[in-house]
Amino acid sequence: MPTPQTIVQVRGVSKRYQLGHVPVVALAEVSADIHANRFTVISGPSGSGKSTLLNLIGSLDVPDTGSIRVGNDHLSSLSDDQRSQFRARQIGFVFQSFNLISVLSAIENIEYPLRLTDTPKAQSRARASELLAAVGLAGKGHHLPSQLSGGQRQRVAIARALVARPALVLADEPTANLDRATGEDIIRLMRRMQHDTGTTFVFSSHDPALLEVADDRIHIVDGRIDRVEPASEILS
Amino acid sequence: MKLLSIAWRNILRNRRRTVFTLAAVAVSATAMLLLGGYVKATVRALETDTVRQVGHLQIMAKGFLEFGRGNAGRFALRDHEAIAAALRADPVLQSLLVTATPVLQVQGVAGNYAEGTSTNFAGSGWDPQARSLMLEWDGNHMRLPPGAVFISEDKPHAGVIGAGLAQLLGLCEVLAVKDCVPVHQATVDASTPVMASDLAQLTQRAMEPVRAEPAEQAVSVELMSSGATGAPNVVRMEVLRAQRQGAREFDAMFIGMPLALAQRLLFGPQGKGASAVVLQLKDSGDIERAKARVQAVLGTHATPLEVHDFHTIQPNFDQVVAMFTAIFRFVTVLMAVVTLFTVANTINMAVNERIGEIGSLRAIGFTQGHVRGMFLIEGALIGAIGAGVGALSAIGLGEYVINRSGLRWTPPGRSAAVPIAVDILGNPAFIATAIVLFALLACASSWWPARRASRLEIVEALRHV
Repeated sequence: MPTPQTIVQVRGVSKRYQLGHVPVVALAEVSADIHANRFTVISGPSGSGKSTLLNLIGSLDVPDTGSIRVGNDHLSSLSDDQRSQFRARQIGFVFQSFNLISVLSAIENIEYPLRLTDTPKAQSRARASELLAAVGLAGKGHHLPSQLSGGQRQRVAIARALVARPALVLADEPTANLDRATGEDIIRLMRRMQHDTGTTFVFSSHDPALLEVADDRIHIVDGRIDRVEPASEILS
Repeated sequence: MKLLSIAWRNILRNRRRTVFTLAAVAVSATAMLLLGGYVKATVRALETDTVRQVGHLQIMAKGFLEFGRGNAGRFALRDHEAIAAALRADPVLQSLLVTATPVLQVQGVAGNYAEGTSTNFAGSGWDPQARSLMLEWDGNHMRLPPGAVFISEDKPHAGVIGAGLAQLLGLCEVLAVKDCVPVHQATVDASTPVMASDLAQLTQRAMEPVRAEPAEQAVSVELMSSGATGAPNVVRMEVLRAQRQGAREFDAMFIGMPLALAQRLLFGPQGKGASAVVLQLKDSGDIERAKARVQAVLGTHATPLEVHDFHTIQPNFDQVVAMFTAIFRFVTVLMAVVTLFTVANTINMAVNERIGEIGSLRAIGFTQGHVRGMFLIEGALIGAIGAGVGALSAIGLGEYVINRSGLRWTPPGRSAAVPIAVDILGNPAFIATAIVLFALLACASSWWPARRASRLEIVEALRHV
């Protein structure tokens, strides 16, 4: 069996937050590798630091110490603008609350990341339509987010995350705001999209349904990696 | 483009708030444009009135402005006819000129000896025909009715006096002057001769070579002035009517008379001379060109001459313009402050409502500059649209309501009422400037909330509910 290629390398990453006057350690000296083209779940109880790790990998936040490499990009060396460009090119996000732009229609939401990369309009519209159909929302392109159900919004969010052909899709508890059946639909959709596109998916979740379908599982407790199963490797 | 489209949709998101903000900006822009249009129209009307009264340029002996009133003889242009003829003959000035005509300023004592009253006067003598032409000037296309000319060549002894002067001389009743207080009769000593014998002799002597004297029954006043040689001269002037002047002091001294009568008063029966040669141009925009040409034509004149424009001759004009300009600027600043705070409040509320969305946009690749730009564009759109609506409303109100209302007012220092008018459509650059100004103001007032939005922590923004 060939050695899986590492797409994300986390080394000695710590992150503290200030909760009022109380410092809270979200991550303490975390190191991990995430393999390309896999379906990886970061699991753990609430407040364990899984979302923080996801945010740091997605360059939404910067670690206090340690380094993160995604592909060939060393995130700690990037400026704020460079991190924005990195996110636009390399990362697709799926959030628990969908976080669609309410004034844009479904298809516009999907194609908007491409507008940031100066992709020609016709090309971005075609790509968005293709993904809209792929997530099962053909015909709903001109609906505003407020006119879609929770599951449909999350499908739009998944299509938006994939539209720029990112190296990595990060999903922060994507099924938490959905009922069980819809959540399972979304998991199946993401699994299929991951399979079809060959994109690496990383989730934070404690949804057992999601844990079951994951290729790799990284379990975090109190800001430290508790265990990795079955394929990722704990380095410290 | 990507920012413009999303900014445009965002301002339509909370329509009620946007409508209120647009209304505030529109009202500010309307007020600014209406006041600006009103100031412009009023200044043009004032310029028309000023140019009618004193022309565009006056050529006078060097020092006349400073000392001429005290020694009219010394500073008189004895060869004014030759000067005016040379200017009229110049091919460049020919195309610019309406008229080149002499004026003679004269002052002294006016007496109505029948009533035993006398007072100082300040008069000017004009060529009646040229004066009539001057008072028709409408180079600013204001369509103001021509000023009335009461002096005429047919009546070389007749002139007009200020209503205040008529009151001081006890001529209210005979001249049928409105709002005029009759002289208190008790102040007149019945035993006093109606005219001192030496003055009567002077008057008689001054009248001798003149063929057309005022008729016995005509209302007349005696005018006495220190002549060019220092000796007193007296003439009798028939008073055609009293004409109220804008300033009380001037009204109490004003006399307008034919040039020949003024010359006789100052220089004696055969004397010729003028205080200045007045040039009225077809277009006020040609003042500098005409001035340079006059200086070239008269450069070799025997006596040193000065050429002054109406701004120098009538400093009151610039003062009134400065007053209106100051009021306009003050109101503009007030409107700008209203716009600044209104738009800043709206954009600030928009930022607060869209914190989560700002986080999403940052997550998909918006830079801080994109976020800042999006809110700045929203502010600029509100400013530009509000100012556009304001411009339309100002044009509607100004051109179709105020300009057709027929309202009039008398500007300070003026005797003639001018229409209350606004000139907005005649100045498209002003409209464009106002729209750009309000767009920039709104953009500036969005700066702080936009900056705040761009600096939000992405993770915190995404967590915001």
